Amino acid sequence: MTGSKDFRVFEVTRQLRHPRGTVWKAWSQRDQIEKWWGPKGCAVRALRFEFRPGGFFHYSMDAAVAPTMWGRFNFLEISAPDRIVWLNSFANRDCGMARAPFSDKCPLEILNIVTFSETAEGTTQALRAEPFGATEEEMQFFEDLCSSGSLAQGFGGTFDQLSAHLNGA
Amino acid sequence: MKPNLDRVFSALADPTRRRIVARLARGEATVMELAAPFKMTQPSVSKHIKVLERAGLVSRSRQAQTRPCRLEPAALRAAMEWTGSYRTLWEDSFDRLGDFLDANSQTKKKDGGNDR
Repeated sequence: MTGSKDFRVFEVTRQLRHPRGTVWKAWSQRDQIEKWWGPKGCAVRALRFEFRPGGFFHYSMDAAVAPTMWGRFNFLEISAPDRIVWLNSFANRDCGMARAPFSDKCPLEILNIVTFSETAEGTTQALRAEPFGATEEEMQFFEDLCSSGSLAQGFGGTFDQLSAHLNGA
Repeated sequence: MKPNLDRVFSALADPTRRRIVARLARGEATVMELAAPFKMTQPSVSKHIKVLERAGLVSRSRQAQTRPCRLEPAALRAAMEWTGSYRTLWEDSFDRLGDFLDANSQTKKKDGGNDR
């Protein structure tokens, strides 16, 4: 699978049992997006939320065992009620762009497009993401990050043993 | 102590150190015990252990003369949280979005409102 072009564009779709207007609010309102966006196990807090083209959503991510990290959305296009386009990157505490804390090979910015379409049951939410302005090395890293096993695969079976250890610990 | 992820990942980037970590996942071991399967000298194993210690992955007992090494789960957990894929990040977020919307519409119904 490695080397396949497919991993250079990442796509995920989700059916939601809610009207499009409700889903739109969950993306466009500060007190709503911070309740669901972010890595598992991280408490996300919005530090800045400017839902307009050129505006930023700057947030902190706090996990129990890791130091505070920051990220940001730089909104490029907002077309209510069906489309949001933004660049996502790690950030410093002042909303400046930053390298990923876990690797300097991770693309600096990811271009994301989410679209919402109405269905009989609610809303179909489709996200498409790809590295923005990335070098070949960074593209390769993103491919690895998007393929199912992710970075953990690079560490061989070690992480499976570690999971077992941690679950028992 | 909060682990430094850069150090954790660079420590785990080395195959010998990953094997040491995997061995320690089965229980404490002295440097001598760790050196045995690697056909390495104790000083070179000690060097690897120092790197793992600095990353917060391994700690050494101050009690016994042999100072056995053991794994520190916190640094590993932090590393594993960050090895989730981009897909995991979004799938998890979308799960939470669905739950959030469900909870929100329940509250609204209780209040007599309607979100449709």
